[in-house]
Parts: sequence; C-alpha cells; structure tokens
Amino acid sequence: MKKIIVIIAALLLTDCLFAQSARSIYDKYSGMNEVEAVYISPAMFRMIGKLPSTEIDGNDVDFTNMVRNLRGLYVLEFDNSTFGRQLRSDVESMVRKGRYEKLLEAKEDGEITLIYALSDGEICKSLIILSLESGETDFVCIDGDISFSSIRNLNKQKKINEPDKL
Amino acid sequence: MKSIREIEKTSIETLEKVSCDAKIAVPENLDSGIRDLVSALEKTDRLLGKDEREKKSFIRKYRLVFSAAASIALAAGLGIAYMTSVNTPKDTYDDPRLAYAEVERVFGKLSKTVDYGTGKLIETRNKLSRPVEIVEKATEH
Repeated sequence: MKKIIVIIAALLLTDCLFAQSARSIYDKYSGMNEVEAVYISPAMFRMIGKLPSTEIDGNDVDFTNMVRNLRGLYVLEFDNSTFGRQLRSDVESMVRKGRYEKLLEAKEDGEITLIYALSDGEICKSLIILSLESGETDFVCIDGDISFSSIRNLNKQKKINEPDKL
Repeated sequence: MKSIREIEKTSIETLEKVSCDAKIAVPENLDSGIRDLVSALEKTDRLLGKDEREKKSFIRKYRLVFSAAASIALAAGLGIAYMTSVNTPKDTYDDPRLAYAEVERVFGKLSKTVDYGTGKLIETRNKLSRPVEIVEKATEH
C-alpha cells in the first residue's frame, strides 16, 4: 500500500517537470477553430534546400545559412482577443519559468511586438516573436541554432547603404 | 625452521608424528598466545558485524526516500519519452515552396522589428550625444 502511494505521489510531482515549451503552446492552441496554425519541421527545412535570395523592403537578404540550422517553426494567428490574452499569459509564464530573456519590445502604429530569446552565449536556441494588434495576436517560435550576428545581419544591405548610422 | 608454506604442504600423518615427538619443545606461551589471537579475532568479527548492522539499518531507515526518488526518476523518464513521442505535430505544408514562402514572411517580420529596434537605439544614442557634448564643453572651460 505504501509503495502504491509513493508511486502515485511521484507521478503527480513529475507534472512540474513538464514546464510549458513553445511546442506545448502550439499543441494547446493549434487545434482550435479560430486559430490559424503553421508548423514547419526540420525535414521540410532540409527539403527547402538552397534558397533564392529574398527581398525585404527592396534589399536582398540571404536566409540560407540561418534556415539550415533550424529545428522547427511554429506559427499561431488569432483573431480572437480572448485567446490572444490567454496566449500572452502562457508565453509570459513560459518566459518566467524558462531561461528566455526579452530582447526587444516595440510599439509602432498601435502594434506591440515582443521578441524573446533563449540563448547560449552568442547562439540563440529559440526565438519567440509575439505581436499584438487590436484583437489580433500572432505567435511565432523559431527553434534552432541561430547566431545573434545572423539576426543583426538580416538587414545587411541597409547597413552597407547607411554605414554612418551604425 | 620450516616456513608456514612448508608446514601447510606437510601431510597430516607427518604432522601427527611431529606432534608426538617429545624432543620438540613447545613454546611456553603458545597456548595463551593462541587464546589471545582467537579472542582478538572474535572481537574484530563482532565489530565488523556491528558496522554491517549499522549500514543495514541506515539503508532500512531511508528505504522509503530511496524508493520515492527512484519512482520519481522512472516516472519522469517515462513521461518525457511519452510526451516527446506523441506530441510531434504534422507539417502544415507538403510543398517546400509554400513552406519557404511562410519562412520568408516570418523572417521578413523579424527583420522589420529588429530594424525598427536598432533604428530607435541609434536615434537614442544620437540624442544622448548632445548632452554629453554640452557637459564636455562645460568641463573644458
């Protein structure tokens, strides 16, 4: 009898070990009707292969090196403000419990964008982008080994054109 | 004088003959020496036995804790293995080109936000440089 009680207590205690992760947040909300969910696996990233350069604001940027090291991409888009608030609360809880740190909070034209990163030195293991705008909420999680210099160099062409501003 | 190894190799009959030989003198304190050795061995055995008993009681006392820790470790390991195996989501896109378009959109958003943040940082730095210049001029005079 004592052994059974100990085993049950052990099983209940292990619940605290399963802290929320980006994947668990994706699993929680992806099945809901008012949510658009996208998942891209490491296998799909390998299939993408050599990517053509992509244009951002008229400047060319090459994502190839970054994409090859990605382990997963999770995207959730909500039009429901209730789910959006719930999601924000889940993300903040995950950030508090994990080793994420807030990199950036930007407010522009009524849109709030938060970027959180889980890093190991100069390598970012996981990046979360949370956008909140009048009832709409977008959640993006990028898992992989991304160097911060790659993130800074996303706007490489802008830096070349405007060196004095750096 | 024979060594111990030689004595061990000697047969029982030879040993009996030697023991019956009255010419070989028995050391005076042999009997008491042997009794002292035997009692010392018995005491040593009792002490070792006590340590063993104490070790066993320690294990018995903390058996519940050890079994709880083992149960937790086992349950955690099984749970983690189950969660990772069951919860792998399915790819949204079958076509790599559509997946690439989504990745492009996401990185575009990331780039735009990082660029906005960097721009604000540069703006702030430029604004801060003015008070620094004023302070430097004031300290020069």
